Amino acid sequence: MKRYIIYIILSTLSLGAAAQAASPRAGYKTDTLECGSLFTIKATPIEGYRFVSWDDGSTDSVRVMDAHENAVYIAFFASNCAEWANWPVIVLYDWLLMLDVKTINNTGYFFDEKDVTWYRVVGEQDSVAAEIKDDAVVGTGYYLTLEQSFKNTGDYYAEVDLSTSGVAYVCNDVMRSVLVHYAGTEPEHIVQLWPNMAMQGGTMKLVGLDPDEETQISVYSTEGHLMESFTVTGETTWLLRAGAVGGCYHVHVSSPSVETVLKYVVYAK
Amino acid sequence: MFVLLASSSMLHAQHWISTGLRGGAGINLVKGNSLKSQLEPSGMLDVDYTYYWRLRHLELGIQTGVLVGYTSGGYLSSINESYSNTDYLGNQMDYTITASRVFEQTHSVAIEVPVMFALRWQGLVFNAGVKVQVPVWYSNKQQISDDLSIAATYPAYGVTLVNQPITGCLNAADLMTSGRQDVADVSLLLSTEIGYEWTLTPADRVGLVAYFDGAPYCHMKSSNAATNIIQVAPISDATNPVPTVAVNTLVGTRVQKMNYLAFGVKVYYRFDVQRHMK
Repeated sequence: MKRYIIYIILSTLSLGAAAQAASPRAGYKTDTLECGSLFTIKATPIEGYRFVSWDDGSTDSVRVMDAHENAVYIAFFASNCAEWANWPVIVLYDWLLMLDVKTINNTGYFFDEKDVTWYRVVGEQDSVAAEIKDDAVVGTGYYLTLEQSFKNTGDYYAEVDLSTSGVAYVCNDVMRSVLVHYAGTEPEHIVQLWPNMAMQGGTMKLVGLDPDEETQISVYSTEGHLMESFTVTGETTWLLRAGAVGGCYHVHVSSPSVETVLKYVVYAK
Repeated sequence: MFVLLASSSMLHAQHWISTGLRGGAGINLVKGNSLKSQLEPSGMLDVDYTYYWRLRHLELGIQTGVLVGYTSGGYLSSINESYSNTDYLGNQMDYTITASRVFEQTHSVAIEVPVMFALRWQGLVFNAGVKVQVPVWYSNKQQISDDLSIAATYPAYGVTLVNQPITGCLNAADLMTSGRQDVADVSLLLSTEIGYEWTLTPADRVGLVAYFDGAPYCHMKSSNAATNIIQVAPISDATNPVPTVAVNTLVGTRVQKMNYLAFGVKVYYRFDVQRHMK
C-alpha cells in the first residue's frame, strides 16, 4: 500500500505540547501513514501562548484528517500579551508620553482614544493574566501628561483594548506598550524592537539606543546560538534583519545604562 | 463767497460762541477676515466759535472750535486658526485653534477740530465741513468664549493633544484681556449738522441738531504685525517645556481697513459775544 508522509509543523511562535511529546526536533512532527487512514492533528499551546489557526485558515485546534497525499500542516500560535508589551511609546520633554499611533496603525492595528488606558506601576507590573491587578489607572487616550515632569513619579505603560475593533487579534484583544521607567529621577533609555514579529528576512528597528554610549547588540537563535553581534556608537536606531528560519530569537542589548534582552519572532511560512 | 459777502455793505458781522453736548453712536466700518463691527455709544463736549455775516434773515458764516469726547467701537468674530511650530527637538506640531466667539470693545478719547460752513435761516441750522480727529487715549477689552480649543497634533506620531499646558492652553482668566494698543491714527472726517435754534433773547439761543460724521479714508495704523489672535510659541525650554501663549487683539490681527462713522444729536447754548460784552 502506498504511504504518505505527513509533516506537522508547529510555528515556532511556540512549541505546542503535542509536538514536543512526539517530535525528535522541537516544533516538528513527522509521521508516515497508510493511504486512506485517518489521523488526528492537535495544536496545543504551551503556557503563555494561544493557538491562532492552521495555515489553511482553519481555527479548529483538533482536526481529523484523511491521508491521501503528502501533506504539511502548519499551526500558528501567538503569544499572550505579556510577550507583546512592545508597542512603541514616544517620550517628549519628560512631560509627555504618547503611543506612536501612526507606527502602530501602519502595522495594521487600529483603535480609538477611548480604548487606551494608561497605568502607573504599583509594586511589580501587573501581568495581563493576573487575577488581582493593582497598577493605578492614571489616564486614558493616546497620550499621558501629568502637567509636570514625569521624573521620580513612577513607571508607566499603556494598554489598548482591541475587543471592539471587530478584527481578531492575539493576546485576548489587549495589547500593551513598553514600560516607561520614571521611578528614578532620570528616565532609563527605552530600548525597543519594532516590530517584534516579522517574516523571514524582514527588517526590524532597534530604537532607543543612547548615542553617547557604546552598545553591544547580540542576536541569539532559538537554540541559543549566537548568530550575529554588533558594537554600536553614535546611533539611536539600529536595523536588524530577521532570521531566515522561523523561531523565537533573542536580542541582548548591553551598554553602561541598558541591560536588557528582547525577543522577536519570525514566521515560518 | 465769504469774501464777497464780507465786502458787501449790507452784511452785519456777528461773533457767536456755543457750548454743547453731543451724544449718539459710532461704528468703525471694517474690512477684514470674518469680522463684524458693532455700533457703540459716543459722546462729546462741544465748544464752538462761529463768525456770522447777516443778510436780512439769512446768516452765513464759518464755524470752528474744539470737541473733546469719548468714542468706542465693538468688533465681533470667531477664531479658526491653523499654523505649525517646531519644538527644540525638531518635532513638528500642527496647531488648530478654534473659538465660537471673540469680542473686542475699544474705548478712546479724541479731540476734534472742525472747520465748517455755517448757515442759519429762521431758526433752521445747517453746518457742513471737515473735522480733524486726533485720538489722545485708547484702551481695549477683549473676551474670548470659553469653548476655546487649542489642539496640537504631532503628525509624525498621529497624536493630538487638546488644551494641555505642555502644548499651550489658556485658563478662564486669560480669556479676558485688556490693553492700550492704539490702532487709530489721526483722521479726517466729513461732517454735517442740521437742526433748529430757538431764540431766547437777541443774544442767547439754544439749539438741537442732528449730526453725521464719516471718515472717507482709512485711519488705521499699520503697526500690528501679529497674524494670529492666539499665538503659541514653539516649545524651546527643555527644563520647562510649557510654551507661552500670546493673546492678540481682534483689531490688531484681522482688520485690514477701518472707516469711522458717527451720528447722533447735539444740544447747545449759544450767545452773541459782542452783545454780552456791551
